[in-house]
Amino acid sequence: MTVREELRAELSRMIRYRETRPGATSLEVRSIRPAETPLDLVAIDGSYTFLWNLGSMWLAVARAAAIPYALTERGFHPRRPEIVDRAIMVSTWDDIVAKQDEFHQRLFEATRGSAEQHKDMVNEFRKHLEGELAVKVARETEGVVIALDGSLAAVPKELDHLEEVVGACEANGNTLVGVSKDSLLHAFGRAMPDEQVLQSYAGMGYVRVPKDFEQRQRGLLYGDVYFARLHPQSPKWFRVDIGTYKDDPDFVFSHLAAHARSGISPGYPFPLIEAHRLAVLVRQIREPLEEEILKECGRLGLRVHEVVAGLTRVEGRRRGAFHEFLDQLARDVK
Amino acid sequence: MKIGEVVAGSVLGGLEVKLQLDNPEELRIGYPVIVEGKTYDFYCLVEDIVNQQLDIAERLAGSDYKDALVPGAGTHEGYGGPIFYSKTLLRPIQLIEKESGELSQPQTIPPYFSEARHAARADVEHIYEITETSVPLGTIRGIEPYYVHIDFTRLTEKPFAIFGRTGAGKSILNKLICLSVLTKDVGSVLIFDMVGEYGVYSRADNTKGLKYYFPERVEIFSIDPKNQEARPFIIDPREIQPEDLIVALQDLRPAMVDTIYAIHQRRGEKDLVTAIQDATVEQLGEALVHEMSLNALKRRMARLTRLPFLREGKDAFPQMMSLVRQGKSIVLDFGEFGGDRSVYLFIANVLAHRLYDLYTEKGEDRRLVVFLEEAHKFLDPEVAPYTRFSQLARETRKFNLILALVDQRPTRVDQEVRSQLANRFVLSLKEQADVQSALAGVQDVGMWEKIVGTIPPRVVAVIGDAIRVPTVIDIMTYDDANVHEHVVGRAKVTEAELERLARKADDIFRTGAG
Repeated sequence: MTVREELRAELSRMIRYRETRPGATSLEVRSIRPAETPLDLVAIDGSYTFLWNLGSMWLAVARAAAIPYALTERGFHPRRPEIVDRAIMVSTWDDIVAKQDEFHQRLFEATRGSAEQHKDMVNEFRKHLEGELAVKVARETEGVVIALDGSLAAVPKELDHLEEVVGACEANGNTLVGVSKDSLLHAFGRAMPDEQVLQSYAGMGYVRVPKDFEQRQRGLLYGDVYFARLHPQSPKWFRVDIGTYKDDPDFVFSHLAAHARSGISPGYPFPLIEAHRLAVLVRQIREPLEEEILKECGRLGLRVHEVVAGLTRVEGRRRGAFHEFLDQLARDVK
Repeated sequence: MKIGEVVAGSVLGGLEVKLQLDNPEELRIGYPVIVEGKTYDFYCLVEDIVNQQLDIAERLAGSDYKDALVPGAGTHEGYGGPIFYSKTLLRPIQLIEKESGELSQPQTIPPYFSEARHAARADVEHIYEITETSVPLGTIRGIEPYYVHIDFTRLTEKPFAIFGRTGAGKSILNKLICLSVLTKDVGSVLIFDMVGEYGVYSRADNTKGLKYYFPERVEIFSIDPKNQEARPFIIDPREIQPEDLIVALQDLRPAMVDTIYAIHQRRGEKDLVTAIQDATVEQLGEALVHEMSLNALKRRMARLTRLPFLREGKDAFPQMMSLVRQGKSIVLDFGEFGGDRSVYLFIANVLAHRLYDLYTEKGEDRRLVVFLEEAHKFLDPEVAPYTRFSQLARETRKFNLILALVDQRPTRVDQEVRSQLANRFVLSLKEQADVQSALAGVQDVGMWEKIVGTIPPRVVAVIGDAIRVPTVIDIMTYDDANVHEHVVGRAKVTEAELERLARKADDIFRTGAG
């Protein structure tokens, strides 16, 4: 069999598998009417970047950013954002972790067995910072929508703050939602991910996933799970988890949809775009931080070439690593 | 009002400001802007306004937004200001020290994120000075009305020029400048009035002329015998030089030019015009002149010999100079000859010769500013050797004779003459080559080329030592109220004047009663 023949055969299987489930039962899609006077919305997102590697130790910085928005007839107007930047060293070597504090050890345990554990540890740290910031925002504001990036699922549970966030939001009358940029969920039991199943539904609306899916996630989920198209011109349906005002999804979606009316990305809350932009800025401050590493390592007695060799790319790979060289070769040699 | 913050800059390249304006149309090229540094306020002019190329804008352009908020500076603010923002390039032209108010040249730049704002009246009051001999010509663009003064003593010390295309506002500006010279009495003016604009009333639009505002200090001469109210202008043909004819008859072939010089050398007691009319090939010899060239010259000369002012009689030039010495200014009205360019060229050149000789050989105390319209006709590199105007521009500031060029084609004005200009009033120009020529040698020429290339009619860029900093000015509307208010002032009526008015009123009433 040639590779082309294999390709055609596999494609045929893929199309067939897509259609193996019974036909879609009609979904109860409820319409959304954007609020005329939307509540303010605070969007929260986070990001991280690795900086330096020494053996099984990685140095990284993570950022959590919250940006409050007021939406008026004239457009989206932000207020002063809140930014938390923190540095962290993670290690994938038990002996070193044993010397670290309890928090680091929890990170290590929560990600044990992961293929790229150093990445997952820093990612969990980033989520931890976001959670702390969300708790702070939820406690300090009243009557706003708090939109987190991602689902309201506490995985791993040990490091999570969602329970505190929900509690603070309920206490202060805040609406809590989690909006997932991309979801591969199959909650509706179809071969295709739910997002793609829903593409055939035109217009604006929301639909709750089957209860049995939420039952399976009990203990981890801090919200009801919906898919929503928040603007008629939205290119896709987004997974939206609702953490408070669960009994009134019309209310929640009306305010969320109002914030999703930006022509830049109809259907996705504009403040979340801005929170994301603000969070990933942490990757642009690498240069001064690298300078700091060079200076400090020099002070600690390391030779410059050792330090430089340990500088990493965003995702933690050393810049001088051999596979970096191979990748470069593959790109350059035509 | 804050308009943005500095995001880049260099002393040589200017300052780049990220704008926070919902609408970049609020800003225009040439507007004054203040950038607030730590030690200095940077007085800048807007050199350019830019919407940068953005991938997101290219992706979104052409979208059907329906119920969505259309992306724009006002609708989408991010953590760093508007998501879609414009930038402006500012050119610092003066530093104002915050504490002392002292002015200096911009030899540094402000820190990142320094605030840029529209200039306010208080800022420009630091910049511009009002002197004993300064007069405003208009207001600064982009600021609450503030009349910018030009110092007319400095202006009339050296040659200057007004450049602008047809319809750009040269005549109005010229009138305001002449009136200002008269108001401050920094010299007399001589102006060739081709279409009757500068006398009592303009024949074109009935606006008031120099004589209206200064009846006692302006004398009108006319080459048109039909104008009985003006003094007659007569040129004695004996004063005519070969160069006068060469300039006036600009289409002469080299053989005709040689013929003129040949006749001039052998004319004896005759004036040159008569000598040419009477000349024959036999008399001069075929070695010197050719029959065809002589006949062609005579045919062209017929244009001039028919002119009524070219006759023996009381030559006007001594009268004019006598009046100038008394502090008067001269408007030379062309009447029905206004449309004949060769007449203008001829007269202007004849007078230039005489003025040059008079001022350089004998010297005159009274400064005279000669306004030369269509200056390129005299100062084109091909014609310039036959005129005295390039010498006037180059040399006569030492002798109190100042040339003011008025032209729409600066490219065709000899470069050496342009380099002598101490002040330039540059209005809208059509051709890029003219813009470049008008601004050759000016500091920050790149910025000024952009400004002049985009300014509308009746707006002038003033560059030179008669104004503290180069400035873009909206020329004031030329009307009675403005001229009185800002230029000539409200004259107090003297007792003698009151008596004269009373007598006139009596006469009118008596006539009416009788």
